Amino acid sequence: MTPFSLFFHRLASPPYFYELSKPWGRVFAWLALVLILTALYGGLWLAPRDFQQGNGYRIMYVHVPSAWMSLFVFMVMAVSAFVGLIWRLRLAYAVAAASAPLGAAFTAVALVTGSLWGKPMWGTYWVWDARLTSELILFFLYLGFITLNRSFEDQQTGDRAAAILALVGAIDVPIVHYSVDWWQTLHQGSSFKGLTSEIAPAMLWPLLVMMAGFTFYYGWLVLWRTRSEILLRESDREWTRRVIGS
Amino acid sequence: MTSLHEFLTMGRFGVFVWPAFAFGLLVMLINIYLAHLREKMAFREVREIHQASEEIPS
Repeated sequence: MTPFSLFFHRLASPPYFYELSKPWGRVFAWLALVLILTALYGGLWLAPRDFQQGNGYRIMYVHVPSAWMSLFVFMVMAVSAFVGLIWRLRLAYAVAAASAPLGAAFTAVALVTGSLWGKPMWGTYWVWDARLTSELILFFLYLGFITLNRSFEDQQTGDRAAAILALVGAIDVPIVHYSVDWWQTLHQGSSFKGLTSEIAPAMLWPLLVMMAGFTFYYGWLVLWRTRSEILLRESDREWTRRVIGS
Repeated sequence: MTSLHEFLTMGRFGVFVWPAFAFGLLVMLINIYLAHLREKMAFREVREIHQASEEIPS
């Protein structure tokens, strides 16, 4: 077994993950704080005004990273659900369960900030176009996952049922992403085409830094929440007694 | 930004920009608080389970 695969085998062990995730969580938290504060300064102060949208475009510094995270977190859940169903890893189910409330929160922020951007730019808070509607469906998928996961007396049954929903619901992720290409939408096209962007560099760098900051923020909280989920799932194991005692 | 006044008013978009950032910040802080609550709940449940198992006579 290579050191790489050995590391992943050990990582699947709940006690090992529990101990390892604590220092990494702190690192992610500090990175998130520094990156988000830097991006706020860059996006709200340094970046120039847009010649068409004025200062209204600055909403994108919270809207785009939230929308990106809403898709990314659901993909993490879908992959975790797949791993959980195939290899029956408790840790994978715990990651999916820990991710769902965070993903729902990011989706809510994307929807609300998108509406606040839409009113001055489109003249309305909401239209039933493909991007907005598919993002709203994603929000309901998150809520469905959370509800299903907690609806059963037996946690394993809840984990499996929610995992199936995450796998089926993952079909909405490419629909959200490509909706602006597949259909005529009021929502503008993607900000990024692969690794390139049409956004001016002075406006782009705070956006990229904010996206990185949001990703680390999610990393920090998902590690924190996963530790709690593991404790609840392994509450009858001896190692949790040591954790509680420490 | 050319002035503090422009920063505070965001041109004529302050009424949309600031609530958007405030909502984002509020949700992020709530997420942190909920993670803290979940951890406290998990610790309490695990402690209760271990205490109950110790009270069962062997």
